[in-house]
Amino acid sequence: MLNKGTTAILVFFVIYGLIAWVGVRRMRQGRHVPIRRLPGLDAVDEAVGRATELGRPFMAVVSQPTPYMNDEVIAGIEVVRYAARTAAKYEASFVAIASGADSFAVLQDSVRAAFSGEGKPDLYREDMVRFIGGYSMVVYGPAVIALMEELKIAADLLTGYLGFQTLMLAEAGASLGAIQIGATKQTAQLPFIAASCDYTLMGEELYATAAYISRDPVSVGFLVAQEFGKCLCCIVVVVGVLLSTFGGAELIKLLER
Amino acid sequence: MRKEVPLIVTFIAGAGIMAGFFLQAPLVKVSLSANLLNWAVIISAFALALGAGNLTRLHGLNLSRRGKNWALSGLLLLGLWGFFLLGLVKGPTYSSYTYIFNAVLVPGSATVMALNGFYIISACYRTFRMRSWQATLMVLTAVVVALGRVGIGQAMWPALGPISDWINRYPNASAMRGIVIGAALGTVSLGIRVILGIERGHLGAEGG
Amino acid sequence: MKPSLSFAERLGRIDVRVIHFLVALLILLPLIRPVGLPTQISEGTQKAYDTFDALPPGSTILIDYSIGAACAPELEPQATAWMHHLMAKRTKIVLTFVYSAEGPIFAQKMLDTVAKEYNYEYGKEIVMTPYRAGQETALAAIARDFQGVFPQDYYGADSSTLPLMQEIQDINDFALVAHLANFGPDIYVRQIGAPYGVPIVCGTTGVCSPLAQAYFASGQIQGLVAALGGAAEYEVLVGKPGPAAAMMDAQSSTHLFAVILVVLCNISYFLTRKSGQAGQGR
Repeated sequence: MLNKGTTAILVFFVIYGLIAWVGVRRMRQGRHVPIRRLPGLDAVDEAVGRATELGRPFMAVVSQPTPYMNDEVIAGIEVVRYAARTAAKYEASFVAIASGADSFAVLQDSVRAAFSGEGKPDLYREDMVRFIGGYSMVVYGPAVIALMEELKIAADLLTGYLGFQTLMLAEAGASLGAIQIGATKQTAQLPFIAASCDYTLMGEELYATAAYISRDPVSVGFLVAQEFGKCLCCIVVVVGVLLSTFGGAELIKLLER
Repeated sequence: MRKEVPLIVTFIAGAGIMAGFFLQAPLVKVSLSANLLNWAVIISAFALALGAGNLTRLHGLNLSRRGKNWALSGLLLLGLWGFFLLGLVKGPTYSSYTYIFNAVLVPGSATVMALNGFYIISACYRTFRMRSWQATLMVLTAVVVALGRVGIGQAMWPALGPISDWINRYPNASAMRGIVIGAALGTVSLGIRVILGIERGHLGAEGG
Repeated sequence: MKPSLSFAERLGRIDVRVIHFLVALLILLPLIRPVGLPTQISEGTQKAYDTFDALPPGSTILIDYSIGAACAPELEPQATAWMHHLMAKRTKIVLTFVYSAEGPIFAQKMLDTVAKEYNYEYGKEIVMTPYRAGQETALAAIARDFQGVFPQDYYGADSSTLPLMQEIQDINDFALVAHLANFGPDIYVRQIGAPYGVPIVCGTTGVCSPLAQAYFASGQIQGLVAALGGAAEYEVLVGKPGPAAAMMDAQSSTHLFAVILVVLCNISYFLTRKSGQAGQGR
């Protein structure tokens, strides 16, 4: 009935779903779960504050490598939304750049709503969200760099799949003295972001943003499920290593069923 | 209805494709899942066209209003539509089409990517200071791998190649796996929330 | 008057334009006068070679030929070396394009040069499918319903008129799937390797090779040709040294220069720290 190799995945999904359900229920009952500090997200306040002091913009770059928004872009937009709300609160100059038509539309809506939500709809301008088309980083990167230099940004947030342009964007920001926050799950970008950006949101930290900011029971419940999922993976890895080392391939066969 | 219809479509599409992944039943795997995937491929192609349309609209407006860098907007539109129409009318194997591609696009793109080489070296020079034991470890690893991957390092000390390979296969691969597992769980979490309609950030102002 | 910088401080504050100029020189000079440094074959490249070599005669393989203009200098030499190897064995090849819409143009170039050299017959021994947008979605569709995704080939010919396309019903009809792209092999492992068990060989750029290593180390991909170095190694293995081998000397000199710069900046850091002055950088 099930395709080969999917039984273990289905079992994992079911366990994951159950833990998420229990997690959400308990959060709704008022249980508190501490979430460790995300320096990258805390740095958004610092970065926006600096932009306000210097009178120069905070730039959020959302790069979409595919014609549709993927999970990383959706998570990145969450961070941009938070940055926009902070910019509205401090009345800082804010610019968001999108590379995809659908993320452009979502960003426009989100930034407009962020400013309205902070009670400052009059501060929102249409040119706050710009579209630089091109799913190719070769096109997108230099255009963003040109805009960074034109606007003389004070801080930037780099999110989405920037590929090899990550380094160039980060170096351009560094040459302007900007505070830089890199947010990605792409392992190819991580070395560049770690080397060139001041703060990072790596891997799962990007996905924890919604829970960290809002503390909403559903987001926190799912975050708890993520943590349990990781623990489960670690247990499977350790047990598998021990079994494989001492000659047993049972776990591998079980996972391949 | 504006928000409900996308949520229903998301649920049907997401659940259908997941069902096709798990279940062997031909009705699910072939009829539902395969068709949904084929439709997604077609929609992706239209999304590409949407991007081109958006670019045309923005730069066309800039050109007509003689806005900032209007001449460059005109050049962009000429390049975009000229190249597209040439390929459409004459086909992508037409000599002029391939000539423009090979003479303009390839060197231009390769140059932009090659700039990375310059930037990575200046970035290394700027940031690779042994301020702490972690930074020291990072610098030493970078030096070993950088030299181990090229002929000069292997000529200086032949063991650098195998050491570099070992670093890539064990410490690096382990770290990558850890990050990939964490990110994958985040993706699963977000995916479930999107399919069930709990997460609506991709629909616009919901979270603002 | 501004105090002059000490030698130690100057070591840590070399103008970036000087660095870039020297890098340009170190790239150009070895290209003009190659040194001919030796090439050690890495395990990933050797395994990729062995995997291709072990293919039974007449096997059909799928190659995602997603070479883009930006990564062509790294991937095209790999692709050319692979094609020489596979075509010498008369392997039947289906070319597809999942990541790059520019891939067909590079594939056409390969058909006009390498395939022509081996007198490959289009339609029977090699076929080019059209680009499909969607990346992982497209790949999942191809794996699940190959015929449905490609009713026509790249040139618009009906798939039913092409003998090679008629042999393929789904992904299991391929002996191997290879990919050449500026991305890691993760979508191939997820959509092809894990559900269908088809072997995968990966050819990728330097930035994506750390991720690819994780899949290679665990055996989820059967070969890994990474970056220009991998391309040079593969050229050596097939006995056709080409552009990649020629460019490795330039890569060697720039890597050595980068290491020298790192040493210099750290000497500056320690000397200035000792004398109580602030150093540059993070």
